[in-house]
Order: sequence, then structure tokens, then C-alpha cells
Amino acid sequence: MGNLAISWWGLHPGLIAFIPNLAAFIVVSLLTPKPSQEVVDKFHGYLAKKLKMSEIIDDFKDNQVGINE
Amino acid sequence: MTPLFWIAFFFIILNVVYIVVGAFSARGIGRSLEAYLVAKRGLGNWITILGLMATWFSAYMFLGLYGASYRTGLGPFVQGYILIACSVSFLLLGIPTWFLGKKYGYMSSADFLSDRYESRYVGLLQGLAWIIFTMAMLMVNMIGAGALLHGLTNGVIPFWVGVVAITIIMLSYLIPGGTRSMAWVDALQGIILLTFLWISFYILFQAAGGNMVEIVNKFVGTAEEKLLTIPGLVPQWTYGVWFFQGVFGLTWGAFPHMYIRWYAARSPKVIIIATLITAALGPLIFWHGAWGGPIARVIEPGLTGAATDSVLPILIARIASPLFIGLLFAGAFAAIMSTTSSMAMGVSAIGTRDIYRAFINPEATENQAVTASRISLTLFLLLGMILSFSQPQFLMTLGMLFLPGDYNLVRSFMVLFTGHGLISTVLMPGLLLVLFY
Repeated sequence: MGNLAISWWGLHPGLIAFIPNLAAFIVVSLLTPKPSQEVVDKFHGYLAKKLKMSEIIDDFKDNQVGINE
Repeated sequence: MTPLFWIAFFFIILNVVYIVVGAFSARGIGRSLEAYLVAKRGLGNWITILGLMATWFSAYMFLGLYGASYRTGLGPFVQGYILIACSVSFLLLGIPTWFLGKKYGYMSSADFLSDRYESRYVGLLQGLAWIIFTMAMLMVNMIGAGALLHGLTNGVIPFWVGVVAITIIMLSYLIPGGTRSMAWVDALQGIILLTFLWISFYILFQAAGGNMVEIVNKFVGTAEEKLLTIPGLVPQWTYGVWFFQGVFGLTWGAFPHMYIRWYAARSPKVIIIATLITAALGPLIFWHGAWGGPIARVIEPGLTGAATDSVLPILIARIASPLFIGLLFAGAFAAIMSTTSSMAMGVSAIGTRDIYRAFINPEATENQAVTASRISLTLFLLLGMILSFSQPQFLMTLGMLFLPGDYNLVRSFMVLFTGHGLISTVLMPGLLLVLFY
């Protein structure tokens, strides 16, 4: 397998993999159980709270980061 | 003094400096995994900005980019434009990643996925995919180190010396200080490579007359006029290529060697500032390379084939003092090392968090985990060194097939997606290989 190189109509292998990758993720996700409410609260709920613009502006005000590090 | 002398001079001096800076920055990190892998989540603006650029720019900036614009014209500027797409991914991924890392203690690009999908096997699977992808890229960079030293010394220094040297030097500062040492040395290398890049361009620009209007006019009305257009003299950089480069650019904040920086930043503000500056300066930096080829054509129009990729060192050797060949080498070697060291830390984080701590020793103490991280780092770098001697094309293809898996991190911020969906995407490259072969 030393010289294996995928080329489908000259396309980049990353591009060849991109479309089935996206299709598989969507189709399989739609066919399988959704994440638990606990996971949704832990990640999506937490991020929804933290990623409000007002929170980010507060972070800008609070973090006067120095230039040395 | 000969070019060989200056190359050896800068090679020795700068590598000693990198090791000293690495050792200095490793002071006081203690024996905690958070300190070793994500620098205590304390990296500030300039270290992050310079580190991002140093990691982003490889020796391609000195060699391949000039060769591409020499052959085709301004089209390679697309790679500067996609830095804007990359910056979008830095913001989309970097800020949520920082918040989650701070809240739940994540340190690798896969341990968030283990929690998000409630299965350590999901993290392991995606982590292994990222290891394969990153090792392919790491191998290419190590090959670049060997080829650079071999090429610029006209074969006096063998290929293997560059590969072994870059491995030993990186190990000597990454083992003691981990990501903190990586970040400081990266920042220094970022300054070196950007400075030498612009010095090289300035030398070429002056040799071509030092007047942009005159340089442009040398092509207008000639058979080479298309050098100044898109897709260029050779239709390589079409608008389709620009589009897909932009699409792929949106994944690049998820590369393990970039992702570790989102955890290591001191605050979201650092990520925002670093991203905006990278987006602003990136195209400007690629601008020099896109124009560098046409300018080199004015000075030396007759190069063909592989020689075009070496157009910058060839012309610098002819029109400047041998000292500048040494500087050019130093800049290119710094670019390679900064990218490779970040990759090594990225896969080491996955090896420690998603393999060692998740499966081999879940009860590991901090001390044991740091030791495991150092061992993992050493093994990955030695593996990269061995691979760079055999250069398996199979690894490159497999790595590219795993590239779209980088979207999995972005998708994981959406409620719609499930662990089974993610597993199916990671297994997809295997299916593609079976279908095509």
C-alpha cells in the first residue's frame, strides 16, 4: 500500500471525504437518539449563557492582559 | 565566509537559544498536567499571536510559495485569504472551547467529545483519527527539515541530519516545559521567521528595481501578463479552488496543534485579539509571497521544474552576501520547528488524556500523568522521525481522508448531532478505502 493515493476525477482526497462525512453525520444523527437533557444543559446551556455578548464585553473589561505573556 | 558556514552558524546559535528559552520558560511549571499540557491556561496576547503565526507558517513560505507564484502568478495569494476563513474558525471554536476547558478541565481536542457524547470510546476514536492526520502532517514537516538542510548546503549535510536534529532539539525543550516552552519558543521563532521573510523579500524587490509600477509594467502586454491575474498563467488557482480552500479553512481551528492554544489562552479576549490580528496580518504576509514569484521572474526568468521551488535561495545566493543564505535557512527552519512542535504537543495531549488517562490508568496521579505525557510526546516525535525516512504515501492519503473529521468539533456545539453520527464519520475513511480499492 506504499503508493496508495485516492484521486476521484482529480479531486483532493480531503474533498472526496468531505461530502460523505457530512452526509453520514447528518443522516446517522437524525436516526439515533438525541443527547440527554443533562448533556444539553451541561454544554449548550452553559455556552448559551457564557457566549452572550454582554459576558464577552465584561471579559474584555475584566481581563487586562499584559503583553509579556 | 561561505553560505555553509553561515547556515551552520545560525543552526547552532539559534538552536541553543531555543533550548535555553525553552528551559527558562519551563521554570516553575511544577508537576501538574494542566501546567504541562495547557500552560496553566495562562498564555497572553503576544505569545498567542506570534505562536499562532509561527505555527501557521511553515517552510512553504520561503520555498513552495515563491515557487508557486513564480510558475503561476498571484493566485497563491488565496492562501492568505483563507487565513480569514481560518480566523472565523478560530473564533467559532476557540471561544466556546476556552469556556468549556476552563469549566470542565479539558486539555485535548478529544476529551470534550468524550463528555459531550457520554462515551470515552468516542473521544478515543476521534482522537486516533486526529493522531493519524497530525502524524501525516508532522512527517511532512520533518521531511521538510531534512530537505531544507540538505538542499541549502548543496548536499553537504545529509537529509537524515536535519530530521534527527529537529527531533532532538524539540525534545530538549518540550520534555521539560511542554506547551509553555512550546509557546515561548514559537513566539521567538515567529519573530525570526517574519523578520527574515521580509528581509528576503526586500532584497529581491530591490534587485528587481525597487519600483512596483515598473515591475508590473514589465509583464503588461507580454505573454506573461496573466501572471498578474487569477487564475494566473497556469489555471491552477481557479475560483473553485479559492472556494474550497475557504471551506477547508473553516476546519483549521480544530487541528489538534491549533486547538491546544484555545485551552492555553488566558482569556477569551486573548483569542479574539490573536484571531483578529492573524486575520489582518495573514493576507499581508502572503502578499509578499504572491508577489515574490513574479518579482523573481523579473530577475531570473528562465527557471523551470523543481528549481522554481528554490527560486528564493537561488536568487538570494546570487544577489546577496552568504550571510543572508544563513538567515534564510534560520527563518525557514524556525518555521518548520514551530509548526512541528505544536503538532507534537497536540498529539501528546490526546495520547495522555484520551488514551492513557481514559483507558490505561484512570486513577493516575498528576505526577504520573505528566510523565505519561512526556513519554507520549517522545514516542510521537520518534515515530515522526522514523516515518520521515520511509515517507509512506498511504499515511498521507489516510490523513487527508480524516481531515473533514475536524468539522466534528464544530458540529458538537450543535444539539442535533449524536455520538453515533460522529462515529460514522470517523469510520467513513475506512469505507472509502474499501470502495475505491
